[in-house]
Amino acid sequence: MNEIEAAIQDKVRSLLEAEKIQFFIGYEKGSDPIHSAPCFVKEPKDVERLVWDPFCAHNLVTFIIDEKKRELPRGEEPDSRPIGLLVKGCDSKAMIQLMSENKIAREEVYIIGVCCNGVIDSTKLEKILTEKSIDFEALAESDIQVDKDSVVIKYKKEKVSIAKKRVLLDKCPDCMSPNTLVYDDLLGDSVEPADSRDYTSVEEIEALSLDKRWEFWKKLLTRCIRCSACRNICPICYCKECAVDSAHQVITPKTTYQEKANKGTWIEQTVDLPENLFFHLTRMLHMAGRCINCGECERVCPMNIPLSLLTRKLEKEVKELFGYEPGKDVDAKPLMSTFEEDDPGDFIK
Amino acid sequence: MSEFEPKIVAFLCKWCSSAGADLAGVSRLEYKPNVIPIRVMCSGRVDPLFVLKALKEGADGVLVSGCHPGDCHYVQGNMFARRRFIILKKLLEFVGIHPDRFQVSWVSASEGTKFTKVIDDVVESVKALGPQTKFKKVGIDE
Repeated sequence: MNEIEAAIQDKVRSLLEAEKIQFFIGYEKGSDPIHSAPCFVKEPKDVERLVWDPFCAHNLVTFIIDEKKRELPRGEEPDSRPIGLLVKGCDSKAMIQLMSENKIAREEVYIIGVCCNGVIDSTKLEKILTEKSIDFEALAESDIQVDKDSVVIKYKKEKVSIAKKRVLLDKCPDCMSPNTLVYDDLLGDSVEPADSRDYTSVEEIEALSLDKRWEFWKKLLTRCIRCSACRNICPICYCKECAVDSAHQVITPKTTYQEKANKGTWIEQTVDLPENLFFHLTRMLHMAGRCINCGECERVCPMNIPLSLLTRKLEKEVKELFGYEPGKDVDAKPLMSTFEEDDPGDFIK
Repeated sequence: MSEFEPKIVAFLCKWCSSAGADLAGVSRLEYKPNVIPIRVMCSGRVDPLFVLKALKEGADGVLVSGCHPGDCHYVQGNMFARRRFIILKKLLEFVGIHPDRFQVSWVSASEGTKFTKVIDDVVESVKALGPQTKFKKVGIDE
């Protein structure tokens, strides 16, 4: 057990024993040593399940939104105590963005911040280990050592070293906020942020011709099965009723014409290229100036569509056009509900 | 086969561009008949989804036209619209749809001649691009 893990467990135990929080959302060890999973701790005796290791990829802020959407069972009094949760640097931007949109109040959450040295992409590591024919499910937790630049794995008395760069999540190498920005307790030593964001992947696509770009996206987006995992995991997508779900509208004799008019079918359930493109562009348009690039959509995508290309493009444009960075300032006005007299307008005739 | 005639959906704001179109009509100015005008109360009313939907339903090009900045009947509607449209335009370009497929213009109620020019330009540029097949839903025919 590492120092931070012990500190998290102590802190959560004392909070739960003093009944200061409703429950705590953290990470527990997954089904094999190279995965960690979200974990809800309600009793002090369960605190030992909590872990902190470089495989803690989930953005736990999403669960706060889910919890707020949950309707109370009849007769149950709302609990006014805060919900505790573990927040990494990147995830804290989502927290700030939600606070600036008045979706979460600061006192509704008890945040334990951790300084993060980068999270390992289990899928990438799994692939490399399979290539080297290492049975990762048989490894013990102590067989995996992660230091600053490499991942060292002890397997059958052999030591296999893998460069950390190769297995980090795509969002990590150029992370500008490794340290949690808003917290009640901060654990770990502060980490030096990257100098600048790396937009090479986006610029590579921008350099292609229009038709090549189309071919590129066509190939990726025909793969999409529209499972909506990207939307459901997104901490910023919190509408109870989603624009792309309007196809499910039930029309009864009592449905008024206003209701019908307000619920136009934007997107049909057919899974084909135009509908998929419509879905992803809609998502991006609704994310403009709000997406904080936590990369969760890409991580959960079952078809491995590199959605972070779209979110990075959005981040780049918003920064270049309006000098706006979401998730930085709790008091910032939302990008799309403000304007400046001298906003770029060269594209207008 | 006859020459390709593009189908353009134009969202015109009630107070300026639509009035500009009326002025062009009463002044007996001629412009290309490829445009399907849809009158909206303000260019700020135009959700970027309207544009995407029009393209999906088979429009070859989309034009959004509103009041000049500062002239909006609702004071600031077109300013919000401007922010939204630039993001939409950048995204469409990023996925490989020609930027001329979606155009924005400011036309005031007194600019009947400008209105005819804008329409002619849009029709001309979309005609040069040919039919829009990328975003079009399968099974939509003439």
